[in-house]
Amino acid sequence: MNTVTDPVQELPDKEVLARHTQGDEQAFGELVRRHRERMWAVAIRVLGDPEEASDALQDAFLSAFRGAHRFRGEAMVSTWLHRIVINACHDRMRRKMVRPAVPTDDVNLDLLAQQSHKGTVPDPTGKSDAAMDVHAALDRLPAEQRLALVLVDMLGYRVEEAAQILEVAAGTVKSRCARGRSRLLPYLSHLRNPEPPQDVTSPRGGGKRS
Amino acid sequence: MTSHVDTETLALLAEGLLEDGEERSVQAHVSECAQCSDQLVALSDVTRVLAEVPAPPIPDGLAGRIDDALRAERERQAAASDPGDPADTGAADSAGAAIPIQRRRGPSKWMPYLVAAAAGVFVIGGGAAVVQGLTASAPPEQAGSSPKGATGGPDAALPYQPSVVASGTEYTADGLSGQAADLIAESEPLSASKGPESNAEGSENSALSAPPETPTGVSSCIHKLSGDDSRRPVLIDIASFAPGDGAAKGEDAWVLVYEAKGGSGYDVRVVTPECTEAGDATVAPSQVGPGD
Repeated sequence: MNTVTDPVQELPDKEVLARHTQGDEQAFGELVRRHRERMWAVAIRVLGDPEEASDALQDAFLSAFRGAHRFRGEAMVSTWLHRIVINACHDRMRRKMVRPAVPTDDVNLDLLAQQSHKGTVPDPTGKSDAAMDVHAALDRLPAEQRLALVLVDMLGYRVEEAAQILEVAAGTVKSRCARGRSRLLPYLSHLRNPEPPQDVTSPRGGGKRS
Repeated sequence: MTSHVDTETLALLAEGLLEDGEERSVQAHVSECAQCSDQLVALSDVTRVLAEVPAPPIPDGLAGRIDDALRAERERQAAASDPGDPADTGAADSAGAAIPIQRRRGPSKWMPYLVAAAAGVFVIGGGAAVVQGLTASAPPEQAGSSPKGATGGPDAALPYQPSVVASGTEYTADGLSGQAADLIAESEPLSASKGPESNAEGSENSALSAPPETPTGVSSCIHKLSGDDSRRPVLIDIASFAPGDGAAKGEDAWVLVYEAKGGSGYDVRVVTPECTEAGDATVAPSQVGPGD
């Protein structure tokens, strides 16, 4: 029925996706192979937890598989996939939000501070603890700020790319990033430099206004 | 001496998002204030810290797991399009004819049921109105054509009975399509498990929580929205909606699910209790997945 002439591996993303919607059973697997590493990088940074990120990635590829004909071709396939992965992660974040979402109190700050002090002694790199701290801090942000920061600051996407993925204006991405950074600052200042300046305002300085 | 600038304003300054006047005054302050300019540096360090966070590599076996899930999905779709019950295939074919999807294993299996069920409740709703019309000794044929003639609760104004649920979902502009797909998928057993006839038993045809009271204004709003279009929603979710422009919280909203013209998927419209449209989306048939 379907005369497949070109090997699917040599086609651009859009054509591979079109092959999939036409019933080519190999096509979608090829897209997954091309994009799964990158999509993993997105999911793990949004969710922080490998289990959650794995589930989200599977959800996302399944929903892309089912919804492929919705892809209209006005965006890049990779933008579309990013959007689906972000949405899958967002769904998981929402479900996880059973615990109180009100951040910024002294208990949390103390806890974070203790954790980071503990980490400074034995860990040779300090990296894993830093990652944990960052994720604990990101957890405290509203989802849209967190998503913007993951794309722009963590993954280094251009604001315009992030705006396309999130389907908002570039200015919105910038302001989400700015507000997110100001909220994160109190939680991350201990990760900055070997000698943090002593006169930096207390961690609560930025938190109060938000 | 000007007071210090809060962190958020500094962050907005760094992104060039302040208004001209404010930008000038904040700049002026920062240039003279060591504390605030340190804070500005600290903000750019946040970006650096975020960029340096290491990410674990993709777990062993995840690629295989995803491939397996996709294979299972493919088989499920293939099974769903197998000719089984002759009545099903007939309905699926007629629905499929109008669907511009080239994939042969086209629309999910339960789709025709919902279409049929919607048609069924339309008739039954009309029937109920007829009964009501008779008891009120009004000409029955007006029940459908002039909704205002019907008496009773707000629902009586609608010559049909859509499924009404309160899923508690906070819909977002970004996620609307997917969320609506989930809603439709979750509501699926109501249409698939019951034939049109059994819908006559009442309106508790919801897979979600018990159907809530339909707020007053829904039916008149639907009339207002539809204009000359005779389409009516098949599903109404009393929920909330966040337009997705950052800080905005979800506001009460009704999510109205219509069958798309031509039978391919659904149109979703979000309206506020004031009957203003707050958003819309389309849901493709395959988004809601085949029923099992």
